[in-house]
Amino acid sequence: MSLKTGVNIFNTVVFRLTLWYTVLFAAFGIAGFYVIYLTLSTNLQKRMDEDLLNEVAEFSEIYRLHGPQILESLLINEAQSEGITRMYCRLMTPERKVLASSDMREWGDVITDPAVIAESREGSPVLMTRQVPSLKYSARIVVARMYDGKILELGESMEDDEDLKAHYREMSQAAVAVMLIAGAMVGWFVSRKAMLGVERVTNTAISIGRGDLDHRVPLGREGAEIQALAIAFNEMINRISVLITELKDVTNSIAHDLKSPITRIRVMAETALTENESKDEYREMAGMVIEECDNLVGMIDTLLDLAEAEAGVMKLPGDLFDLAESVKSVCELYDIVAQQNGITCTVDVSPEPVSVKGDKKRIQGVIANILDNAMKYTPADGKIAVRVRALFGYAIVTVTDSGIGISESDLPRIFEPFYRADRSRSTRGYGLGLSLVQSVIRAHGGKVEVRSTPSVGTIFTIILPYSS
Amino acid sequence: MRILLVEDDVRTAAFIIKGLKQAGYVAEHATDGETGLHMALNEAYDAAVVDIMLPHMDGLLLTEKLRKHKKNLPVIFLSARRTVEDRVKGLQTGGDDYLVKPFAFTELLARIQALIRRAGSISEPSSLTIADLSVDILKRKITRGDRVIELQFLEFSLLEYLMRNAGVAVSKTMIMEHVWNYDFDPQTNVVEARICHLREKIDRGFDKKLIHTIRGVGYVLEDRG
Repeated sequence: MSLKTGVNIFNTVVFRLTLWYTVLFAAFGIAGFYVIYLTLSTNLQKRMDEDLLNEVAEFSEIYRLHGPQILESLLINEAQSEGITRMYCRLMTPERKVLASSDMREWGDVITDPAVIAESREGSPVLMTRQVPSLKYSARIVVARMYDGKILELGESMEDDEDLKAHYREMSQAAVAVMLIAGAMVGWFVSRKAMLGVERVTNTAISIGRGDLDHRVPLGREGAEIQALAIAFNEMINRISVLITELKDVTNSIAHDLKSPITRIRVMAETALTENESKDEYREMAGMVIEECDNLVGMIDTLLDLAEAEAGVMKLPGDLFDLAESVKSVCELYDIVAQQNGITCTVDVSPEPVSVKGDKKRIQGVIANILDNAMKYTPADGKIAVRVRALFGYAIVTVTDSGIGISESDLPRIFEPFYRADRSRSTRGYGLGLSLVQSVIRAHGGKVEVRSTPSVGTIFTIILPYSS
Repeated sequence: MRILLVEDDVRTAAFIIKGLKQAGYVAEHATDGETGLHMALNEAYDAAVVDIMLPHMDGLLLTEKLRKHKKNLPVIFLSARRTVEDRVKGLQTGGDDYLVKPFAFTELLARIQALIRRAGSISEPSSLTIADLSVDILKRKITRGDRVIELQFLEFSLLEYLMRNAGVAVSKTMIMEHVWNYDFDPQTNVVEARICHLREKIDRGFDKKLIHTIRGVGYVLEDRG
């Protein structure tokens, strides 16, 4: 896997999967062949035992009917026809005195255990496997007692069966070796194919890390999981690039809105230095400089509040307060302004306390912000109505004005930072007020809604969770 | 009255010292925390104005050590950090007040006066008089000359604040925060309107005007002779 620098091959998923495949293939292969081998050797021995027992039965019958001479010639014949290294036959007394025997030269001194002879009964021959020192192979031996107590012994070399088994073992070893190689190859191939998609995501992430946000992960055909990863990754990058664009816009707006007052301050100071003004005019200018500075500080504070609220780190006190009372006191502050502007301002709050949990001062700021807007955009003889109610587990504040309203195209954007429906930027404010309103209300777990009809009026609705 | 200023920014310090001197205080200046602590422990001051970010020893540690030495010197912190937690931290380490930079100088002055008053346990007078205007705070009775003036609740508290700070300009923000206990900066002229209303009732019909506007700074109630 070409995973750039510093990746230890033994740590890669491909290596591990390949190793697993190889080990599993080998383990199953060996187990399979071993089971077959066991079955094979059991069956071979069973067949040989059956042959030997049949022969013993046949010889016993002949011995009983025709006597020892006939049997002896039969035994010699039988051994010779099988091959004297492959078989022997002999007839003994229970004291192991050989009465008749096939050619035993190749078999050396195969000695029958007296205990086995003592144990043997007529009709139940005893089977055993013996190493024959003079021969390469083991032998299967059967000892049987005749009707008159004589002992008949047949021995057969296991040469054929052992050759077959050795051959089978060699074949299995070769097969397991082939399976090992095949397992490794299959494992490598399969895992490599699965990991290709991951590698593409990695490569894209690396190029994005170098600052190129236009890269996206190409979608392959590796399967649903890898596709889902690629899609999720691409969506994340889309979101990040939208955020970065927004951040750039906001930064530009901030820079612009900072520059204008700073320019004004600079011009005023410069005028003060170069022109010969009266003392009162200097005072006037100094006062204007302070006003501009205060506005700038106000804007910076609002931006900081906004950032804090949007980042979700705004710490809200868990205190309960009466929203009705708080809204009422803010409205009282505005009564003279309303009078001066010829606006009728009515406040209709629930007589019961409407308790809400959170930051009372910030919520009052929110109400003030909405009232500021209503005052600004409502002409003389207009009306502003403020209502506070507890309804269905929510605390609801509505501020209705009979102002100029908000156009349909502006309506969805009024909560965006620095957005001002009034393009001329002639009215006071930086277009941050409503963004802050929304952030603070959201931080309290509530929401703000706005409905408006141009030249009829606007209704702001704040919905907060009611706490009791 | 002697004020100790601990502030590492020389330019800020220079203008604060100038302002304090104009207001009739004697101001002494230290540029780092260790020197500041040394001066606070060895000399007698009526109040200290301490910047939080200082070289060698920050303002919080300085105040903590000061309190360990049982010095009850009132301390006002200055800081660019404006969150509630910062304020709380400042007050928990033994500070008496917390002012966020940039601040209006008049606000610093008003707070120093308030702290000195409190530390000297000078009881708040129950009636205040400037020229022919007098306010009985307990009875909430206002007279100018021989005319009795009726005021709404908001206007009464505004007048009381102006009277207590007579001769010192108070800003819109100070009025919003200290008189009415709000923490926002209204975009409409709610404070101006209220002052205007108050003026109608206090100054209208009298030759001598008592409430004056200082452009960019705020309002001051004083007898200008």
